[in-house]
Amino acid sequence: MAEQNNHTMLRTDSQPCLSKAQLVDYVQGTMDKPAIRLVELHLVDCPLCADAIEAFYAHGLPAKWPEPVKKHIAFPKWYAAAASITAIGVSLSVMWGLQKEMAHKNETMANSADTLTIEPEHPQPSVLESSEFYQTPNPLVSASQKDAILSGNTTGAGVLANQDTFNATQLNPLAIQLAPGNSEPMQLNDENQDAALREEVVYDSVVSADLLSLQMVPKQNRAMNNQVKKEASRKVEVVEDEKTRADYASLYASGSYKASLELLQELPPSTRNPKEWLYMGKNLFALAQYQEAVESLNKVPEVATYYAEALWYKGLSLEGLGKAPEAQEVFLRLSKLNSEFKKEAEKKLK
Amino acid sequence: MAFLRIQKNLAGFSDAQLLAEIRENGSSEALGLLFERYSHLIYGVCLKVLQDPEASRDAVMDIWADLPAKMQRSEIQLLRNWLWSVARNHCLMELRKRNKLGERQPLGLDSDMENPGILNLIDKNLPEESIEADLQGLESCMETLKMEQRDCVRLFYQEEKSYKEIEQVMGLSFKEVKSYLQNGKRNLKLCLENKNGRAE
Repeated sequence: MAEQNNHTMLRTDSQPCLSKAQLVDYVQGTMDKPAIRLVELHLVDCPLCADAIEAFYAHGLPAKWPEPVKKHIAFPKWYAAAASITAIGVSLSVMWGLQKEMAHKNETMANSADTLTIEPEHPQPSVLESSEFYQTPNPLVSASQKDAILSGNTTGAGVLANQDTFNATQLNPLAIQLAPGNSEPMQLNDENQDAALREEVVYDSVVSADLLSLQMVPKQNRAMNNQVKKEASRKVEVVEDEKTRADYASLYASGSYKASLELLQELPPSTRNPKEWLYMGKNLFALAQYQEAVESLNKVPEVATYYAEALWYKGLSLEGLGKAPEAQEVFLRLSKLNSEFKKEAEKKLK
Repeated sequence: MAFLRIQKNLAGFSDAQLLAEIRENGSSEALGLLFERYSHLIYGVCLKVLQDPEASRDAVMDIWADLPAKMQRSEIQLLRNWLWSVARNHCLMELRKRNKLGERQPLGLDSDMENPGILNLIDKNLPEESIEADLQGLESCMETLKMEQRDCVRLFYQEEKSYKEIEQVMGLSFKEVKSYLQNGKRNLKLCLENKNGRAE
């Protein structure tokens, strides 16, 4: 049997290193016994895993693990130059196209403004919002602008010859929003337009009052913005969490037990590591909340580096509760452990 | 599809195969897979030395950025030991830099692990197969170990106790059990190698 065990001891370790999930299971004590045996056989030969586990016992598992950074691909310089030129060209083309389209629409709208009506059964804004892009409400054309367009005094691209009458909702969904419940066809005149513009309708953050601009806000961009905001908010939470984890010990050391305790209480109990439970207990003990202190100190597992210290404060807390026999039991147990509290525990037993 | 196939194949690669991919083809996929396998452990090593989560995360990134170049010029027998060595050296350098800047050095270092002799022993990756031949000398070598090392080694290997059980039986911390076992086994190897050397 002994020989067999010796073989086991000397066999070459071929176990792969611990995955993140295995490491978390082991540190949290949620691993089953055979798996623990395999992990520990590996730990003897693997300083990488052993040091990592030791660090996580001492500091707790991190709220945020290191994440890979996308590798920067170094293109030749001419790639960058070509890409820049292409991008400028595309931008100019798009701008020219939009300007041309805008001029055409304005002109068409001006020509048909006198006869335009809005049908009440036209699509509602919710339907419009389901389209791929949110179209900024087309500017309502004022009488003076209409005159300017009709007189040929336009800027930008030339006026197109085709001036077919078209439906106003195609151009201006906001016009419908501004006249809810209006069952009668609404005459689009200067007065209505001014009233519509006075309404405080928050259509989107990029809605512009510029009469000659047409802004397109891709729906994906809006979703992306929300995602960025959520991510930023999450990062703030993580930073706050790490700050909490870093500060409670220094607050305790400076005697600010209540502040230290409040910081620790901000951490969800399920995420507290042995050190944090220990400091909760120490703070509660210092604040003479002995029963709560014992409960917190009981959460420090026996494998944790802080176990002996937790026992010491548990014994003191039990004394505070007037439970001398129970305290003696704790000190007796502590006196058998090889720790810096051994002598103190022995003194308590005398 | 070809890209996916390459990804799938690489995922099943051993460390040595991934290392070869990085050395020969500069494969960023292989480097990414190694990151998945080892970044959390390297972070742990850095956390132990630097005692600072944020600095440790930065250190992991720095180590990883330098890794392909280091892999090209280093002789690597066992990747995990090499990575441990690289991570530890990097973090110790960081500490030295901090000390020069007047920052206080954290107290995260084991006295035994700071011993350069022991660091060299680990880096050597001594062939364990050669030890297996000499079971006869094992018991006598066990007697040469320090008491704590011997007890830990016996409890762990012969009685198959877990670290937690050893901590309870001997009143030690995880860190102490880990050190006694690592050093005990290492000393045992050295003792057996010496015996083998004399026999030859």
